[in-house]
Amino acid sequence: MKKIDEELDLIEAAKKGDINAFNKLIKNYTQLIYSFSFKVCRNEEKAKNTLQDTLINVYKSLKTFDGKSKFSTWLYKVVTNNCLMLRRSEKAGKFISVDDIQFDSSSDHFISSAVDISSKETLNTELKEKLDEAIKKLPLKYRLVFILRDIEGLSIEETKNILNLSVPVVKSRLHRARNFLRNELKEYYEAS
Amino acid sequence: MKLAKICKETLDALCKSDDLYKLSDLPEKLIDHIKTCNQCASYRNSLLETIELYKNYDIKLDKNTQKKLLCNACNKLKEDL
Repeated sequence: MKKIDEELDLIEAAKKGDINAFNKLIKNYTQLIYSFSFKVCRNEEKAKNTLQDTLINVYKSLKTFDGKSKFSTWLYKVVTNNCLMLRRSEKAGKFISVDDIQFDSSSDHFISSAVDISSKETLNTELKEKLDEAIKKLPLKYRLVFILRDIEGLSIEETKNILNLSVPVVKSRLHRARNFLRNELKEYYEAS
Repeated sequence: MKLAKICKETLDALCKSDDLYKLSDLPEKLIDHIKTCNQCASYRNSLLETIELYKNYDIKLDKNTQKKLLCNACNKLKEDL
């Protein structure tokens, strides 16, 4: 409870323009933002860019945070929008529907250099490549639902609010994403 | 291979489930079916494993980069103000 009150105080101070309060507040969330951005774009540099843009946008739009949702849920919304904006700016000049968005696969180099597995299970490079390949094939609209719901552990309700979708649409996208990824990794399960 | 109607229904419910671990949102009929159908049980396990694999695949932001990005963002904000 004390932690929540502390956070609310920092939010209020940051809303009034206190950059130090903002710094203190956001420090606890930089890993979450970075990690989520990486999971969406599967590229370390893009994740860093998204993190930086998100920090600026969070500060600028903090006034719109009304406290009705958790701060982290609101933050996911801002990061998601930044991921989409980054993708759009890469394709500047062309209109890209969210439905058509696919991240490129030219960033495989990060697999060996930048990835630090903070898990109970150590994933080998070959498996990581498979996971990357599979998720990159998944259109962004499905990928976002899968990451928010299944990886980040947000509820269907929260996922729906972040993406401005209805519950049936979230469920239907989740259905497609889970089934698609499971099929893409079928060989791995059969081999093990 | 043609799937039995109940298997189809189960796979569909599993893919949409909000609680794949406890299956609290699945009808009793389908939970009972999973207990006896190897195909559906293994499908559920592979979905869970897929999620776990992605959960375990993460990257960490090192302290220096975090500091640098925070400083850059603060400087940019100060310039804008």
